[in-house]
Formats: sequence, structure tokens, C-alpha cells
Amino acid sequence: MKMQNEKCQIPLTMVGEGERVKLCGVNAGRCLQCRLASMGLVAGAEIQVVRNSFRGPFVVKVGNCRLILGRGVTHKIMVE
Amino acid sequence: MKKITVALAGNPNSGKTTIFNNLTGTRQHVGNYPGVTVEKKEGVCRYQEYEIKIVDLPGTYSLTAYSTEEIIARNFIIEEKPDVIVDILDASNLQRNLYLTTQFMELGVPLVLALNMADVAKARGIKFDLEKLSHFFGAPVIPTVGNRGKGMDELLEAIIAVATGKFKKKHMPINYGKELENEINNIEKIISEKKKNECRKYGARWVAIKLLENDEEVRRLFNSQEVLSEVDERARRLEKLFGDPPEIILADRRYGFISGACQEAVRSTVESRYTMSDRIDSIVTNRVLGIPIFLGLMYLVFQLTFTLGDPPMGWIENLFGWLSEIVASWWPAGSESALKSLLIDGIIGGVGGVVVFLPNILLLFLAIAVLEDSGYMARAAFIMDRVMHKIGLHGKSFIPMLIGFGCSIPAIMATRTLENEKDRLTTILVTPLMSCGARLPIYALIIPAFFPTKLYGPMLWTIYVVGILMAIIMAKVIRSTLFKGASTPFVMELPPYRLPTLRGILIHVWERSWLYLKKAGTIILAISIVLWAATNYPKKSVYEHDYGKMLSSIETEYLNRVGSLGEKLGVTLDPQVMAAILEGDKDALGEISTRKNLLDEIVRMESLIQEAKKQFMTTIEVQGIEEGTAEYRSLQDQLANTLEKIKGNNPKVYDAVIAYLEEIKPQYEERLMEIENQKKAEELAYSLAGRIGHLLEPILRPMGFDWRIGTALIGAFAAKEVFVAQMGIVYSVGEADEESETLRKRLQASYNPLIGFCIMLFCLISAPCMATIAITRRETNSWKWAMVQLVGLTVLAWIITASVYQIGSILEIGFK
Repeated sequence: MKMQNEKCQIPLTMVGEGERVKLCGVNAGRCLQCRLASMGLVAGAEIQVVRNSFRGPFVVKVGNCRLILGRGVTHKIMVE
Repeated sequence: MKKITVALAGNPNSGKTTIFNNLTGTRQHVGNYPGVTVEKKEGVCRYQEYEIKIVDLPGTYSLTAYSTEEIIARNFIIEEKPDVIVDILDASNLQRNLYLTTQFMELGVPLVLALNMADVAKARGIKFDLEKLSHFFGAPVIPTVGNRGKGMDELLEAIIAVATGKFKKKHMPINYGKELENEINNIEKIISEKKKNECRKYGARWVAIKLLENDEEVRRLFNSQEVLSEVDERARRLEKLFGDPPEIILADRRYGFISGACQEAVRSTVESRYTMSDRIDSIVTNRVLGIPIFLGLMYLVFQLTFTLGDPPMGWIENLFGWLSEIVASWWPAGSESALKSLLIDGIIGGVGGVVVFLPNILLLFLAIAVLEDSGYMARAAFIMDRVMHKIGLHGKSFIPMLIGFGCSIPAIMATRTLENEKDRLTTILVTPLMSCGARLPIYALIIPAFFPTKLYGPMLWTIYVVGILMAIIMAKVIRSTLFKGASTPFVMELPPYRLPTLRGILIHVWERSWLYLKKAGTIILAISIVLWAATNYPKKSVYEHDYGKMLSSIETEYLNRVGSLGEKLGVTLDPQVMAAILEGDKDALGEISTRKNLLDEIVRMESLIQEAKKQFMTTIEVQGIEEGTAEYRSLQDQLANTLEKIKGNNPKVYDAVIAYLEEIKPQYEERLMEIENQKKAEELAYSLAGRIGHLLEPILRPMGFDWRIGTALIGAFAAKEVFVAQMGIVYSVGEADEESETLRKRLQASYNPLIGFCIMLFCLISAPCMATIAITRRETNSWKWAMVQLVGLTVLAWIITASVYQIGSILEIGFK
């Protein structure tokens, strides 16, 4: 996925707990992208990181919905 | 009765099932969609003059072609053309939920929106303008509170209004922006020309959009080279233009539409902060506490299932025992009849053996239902995912495998929670390796027979660990060969913790138990009969030993001893009659006139003694007193005193009666039993099962087994516990259980520890009982996988056991 902004270089994994970020894009195949999109993770979506403990689960809030993400997936999500 | 068909759709966790339960109550029916393992739930609801058939579609986030469930939901809507689709929305998560709605709008189907969990939204301070929402999405919007049953009538009214065409609003197709609309129109034109028929079925615009989205299924259907290359060309153009493939843009635009609509129609006042759910989660998914909490809960579930489940299991066992007695009483006592045997041993025995597990299974499902509905399972799956991932399985596989330690049947049923087909099949195939409860009697028989006491624990532990290791290895192997394919990346919604509805749980449990009884029961009935026939026929007519002669010689000896007893007492009766009197035959007593007093005395003393002994036994049993304790000794003393008193009345008679009760009678009965058993063993060897056992010897030899073990293994196919019973028969010990001392001694004499270990190994790995195979067949909807499981595991068992035996023999491990 084409990154349009310099700012969009941060993978979600590097965002700390409690911070709010905006989703820029997803570095993954269509299947995963569509899946994430259908669950609310689209470009422009506001994500709040609820839990990001080292090696623990990665939990985010999108809208009013909590999602658990595997590390692999989280790495691929680019935010600003 | 006017009939309407309604499909219930919506995101997972939106409360779809609760509403389904509300509308259909117990008038539900669960099956499988043809060819797939996804559950199909249907039910009926009667409202006013309408009969409404409701189909609960799988919960999905969208209608792409990426998962089986989505395809099923989609196909159902397209093929079956339900009159109305009810999209159930989680009101506190509206935007994400509306994504699916936009897909329904694209399909152009008659829609009703249920704004579920309206109470939660209200509590969070969210306000909805229902009119506006209805306008945007072209459907009536009904607020509902599923788990309190609110809004159901209004929902039904709306359904009827839409189905009968009374609801007029037609929504505008979502505008995707100039460029996209352009291309969509172009594609629409092309396919209308080329594939007119299909277009009418699916709707040209929808097809065009799907093609542009690179939807696999639709591409397959519209397989013309022309069309596809056109589409690809345009897709490329769009991608160049926007920098993203069309499906991403489309997703984007859909959310844009939703966002706009929500801006107008939804007012959110309160910011939601760190909720109770989050608090619970910080403990439950904690890196350190997470796994212990999970294991603790699982242990609790197990304990509950098997301790609470024991009493009802006992009742069912008694029920079947009582049933056997009733059936047996239809024939005169002691008669042999094929039909009688078929009914009692074959049918009641076989089916009873499976139904007896019903309480366990029910409780297990109850526990799982509670865990799932409350939202905990989502966390559990995540906690175990990391571990399971290394094995090549999904986090959700852990739970079925854990259940497999109790019984493979509910374990396999529990794999329904796995969405990924490959993961699910792998788990189903591998679960039987987690040594189930029915194999325990086998270990309990063999370990004490061949190993010293201090090795009992370690040996049992070894067997279980071997099972687990095998499961892990096989899972890895299967995943990397047969079912190659990436495991789904872990993205999962964390539903907030909820209190499960009692109604939902009860319906759930009722469903599962009915299914268990019905399906597993029919196949098991069939196989029970077959196995019964195989172990009972053909019947031997000429025996190796003359049992008749042996029996009569024992009779004679018995009568002689009774006769000499009588002489000592001065009674000159025919020994036959004497024996009859001593055995308690009142009629025989009544016919005697000579020496009536003496005979009465004998009978009275006999009953006194028996009464005293019975008292002793009952007290021990009821109070659970163990041998060697002070209480036991005191009871023994009491008994001795009572007997002394009885003796005091008439020592001579007492001695004679005691001699009869404690020597003559028991020895006679024992001898009879021995002969019976010998006869039975011969019959078994002659039967089909026995012969198969002999035939299988060449295969059994490399493992160190002989035909006897072979026969027992055939029986074990019905249910693992049968192995022990069959071994008893084969070694003419008669009715054996794992406590049987004699059987152990016989085994020790015939085999050695290495073979003992191999027996356990084989039983561990080889195919599970036929009930499990039957369940596999049902859950996978095909005989293919059931057979793969059966054959695969058995072959694996053979290879491993034979290797272990051969290597062991060469290294001379375990030889005496």
C-alpha cells in the first residue's frame, strides 16, 4: 500500500498505551487488508491503544469496539 | 398460514443468537450446511397469521469471499432469496456494524435493522435518530434489547411490513465517487450483455462491484476471459489513479458513507473510558496470571463435569441395568435365546454404554456455553494462541484438546468454535491422542500387572505424556503436509464481558444433548449389533471338552457332600431334596413330614447365620469401613459374638450348616463358574471375532500381541472399556474388571512388561471408540475424514508399537 505521508512510518507496535493514532495503511495482502477493513481498521480510523505490554496481548479500541491483535498483524499496521 | 422466510445476519457478538432464541424458543433445529462444517440454525416463529421461518446465518463482519462463513451467508441470501434480512447491529459499536449493512444494501435485499443492545448505548449516552437512520439505510430501524426480550414484537411487525411490501422506502445506492461509479457502470454494461441470466439473479451492479473488488467467487462464476480482462484493466487504471487497489477504496468509501450517516443520526455525549471489562482483562490476560487463571478455570470445569456428572451417570447405569432385567424377565429364567442376548448384551449394553456419558457431556457443554457467552473464551483463545502457534495450531484448538482428556466426543464437538477449516480438521484428527477417560481402565489393569508399585504413577504419567507429544507432533506434521496453509493472522474482537442469559444457555445445552443422543446413538446402535454378532457367532456345537460330563460330575460331588452332611445330622433324605432345602426352596420343605422339627431347625439356623453376615456386610458398605481399622475389628467381634450365640442353641446343627454355607456351597458355585468360563472362552475363540483375532496374528506378532489381545482389541473398538472385559472372557476369567486379580496373574504369566507397555501404547494411539468416529463423521459431514482418523491413527499406532516392541526386544528391555 502506498504510503503517502512521511508521518505514516510508525508501525502500530510502537505506539504506547493510552495513545491515540490514526490508521494510514496496512502492509499486507488483500485478504488481511479486507478483513481488517471489515472490522473497522480502515484508513483514517482512529485507534486508541489499550494494552501494549511487551509480549502480552495487543489490544486496541476502534470506535467502541475492542480488538485483540496478534503481533504479526500489529507490525503491519501503519499509523500516524 | 402465510409463510415468510427471514435470515438473521450481523456481526459476531452482536446478540444475534439471543434474538434468534427469543423468536424461535425451542422450535429450533441445528444442522450443517451441505458440504461444510459451519452450523446451520433454523427455527420457526408464529406471529399473527404468519408462519415465519428464521435462519440464523453465521456471524460475519462483511460479505467478502475470504471465509467460509461469509460465502455461506452470501450464498444463502442469493440462492434462497429470503423474504427479509434482519441485520442485527450492536448499537454501541454502530459504525463498524454498519459495514455489513452497506453490503446488504449493495445486494439490494429487503432489509430490517435491529438496533440491539440499545440499553447499553443509552447508558453510554448515545442517542439515535431512528427516522434519519432509516432514511439513510433504506430500512426500518427497530431498537431492541435482546437479552431482555424487548423489541421483539416491533421487530416482527417490521419484518412483516417489509415482506408484504408495506414498507416503502428505497435507499439510494451508495455513491462511491465519480471515478469508481464510472467504472462500475462500464462493467455493468459489459456483463449485462455477456451474462444476462446471471445478472438477473445477482444484480448487475453488485456483480460489477464484486468483480472490481477481485472477489474470487464471483470471478469464478463470471468466467469469461473477455469480461475478466476488461475488469482487470479497469482495476489497474483505478489503482494507478488512487494508489490503492479498488477494494480498499471501496471499503474507504463505505465507511465514509457510514460516517456521514452517523454524523447526522447519532449523537454521542459521553466519552467511554476504562471500563469494568478492561479492568477484568488486565488481570485475566496478564502475562503472568493469564495462563494459570486459564488452567485453573479449565480444571474447575473438569472437576464440575466429572463430579457433578457422576451421580446422574450412576442413575443412567441403573436405569439400563433395570431395563436389562425387565427384558430378561420376558424369558423363563436361565434360558438361552439369541434374541434375548441381542437385546440385552448387544443393544442395551452397547447403547447404554454411550448414553451413560450424557450427563458429563451436558455439563461440559454447559460450562463451555457459560464461558463463551460471558466473553471469556475470546480471552482464553488469545492467551493460548502463542503456545499453540508454535505447534502450528490455533489458540482455540487448546480447549477441545483439553476436553479430550475426559472424552473425545465433546472435545470434537467443541471444535466448532474454530473458524479456520484446516485448523479445525487438524484438531479433530489429533484430539483422540489425548488419552481419554475410557482408556484408564486399560492402564489400571495393565500397569499393576507388569510393573512394580513405585512405577505405577510414573508409567501412567508416561502414557499421558506420550499421548500429548504424539498430538503435538502429528498436528505439526498434518499442518505442514496435508493442510499446508498459513494460520489465520490473529485478529479478534474482544466482546465486553456479559452475563450469559439463562435461556440461551439452556437452549444451547438442550440442543447439544439431543444431537448427541440422536446421531451418536443411531450409529452406535448399528455397530453394537454388529459387534455383538461377531463375538457370539458362529456358535460352537462340538466342544473340545465334554462340558456336560464335567458339569454332571460336579453335580454329583455336590450332592454327595450334602448327603453325607445330612447323615451326620441323622437325616435320611434324598440328597437332592436336602440340597433343595438348604438352598432355600420352601416348597421342598413343605412336602416333608418326617423329622420336620430337625429340618425346621436347620433352615432357621441357616437364615439366622445368613442374616448376621448380611448385617455385617451392609454395615461395612454403608459406612465405608475399611479392613484393618479398629471399627472393622469391632464389627468382626460383634459378628463372632452373634454367631456364638446362634451356635449355642444347637452346636451340631450349627456346625453342619456352617460347613454348608462356607465350604460346600461356595466351592460348588466356583467350579460351576470355572466350567462356564472355559466354555465361554472356547466359544469366543470360535466366534467371528475370535477368528478375526487369529487371522490378525501376523499383524499382531510384530507388536508382540497374540490372538487373544487381538480379539479384545476388536471389542475395544466399540468402547475402550470393553477391552478389559474382553480380556477377561478370553482368559476365561469371566466377568472381569480392572481390579481383577486373577486376570492380572494370567496376564503376567502370558506376557512380559514390554508387551504390557506396548498394549497400552497401542490402545493410546489407535483409533478411538466408534462413538468418536461417528461424531467425527457428523462434525466433518463426511465419511472421508472419519475414515482418515480411524485408519490413520490405527496405522500410526501399529508402526509405533511395532517399532517399540522390536527395538525393545532387541535391547531386551522388560524381559523377565
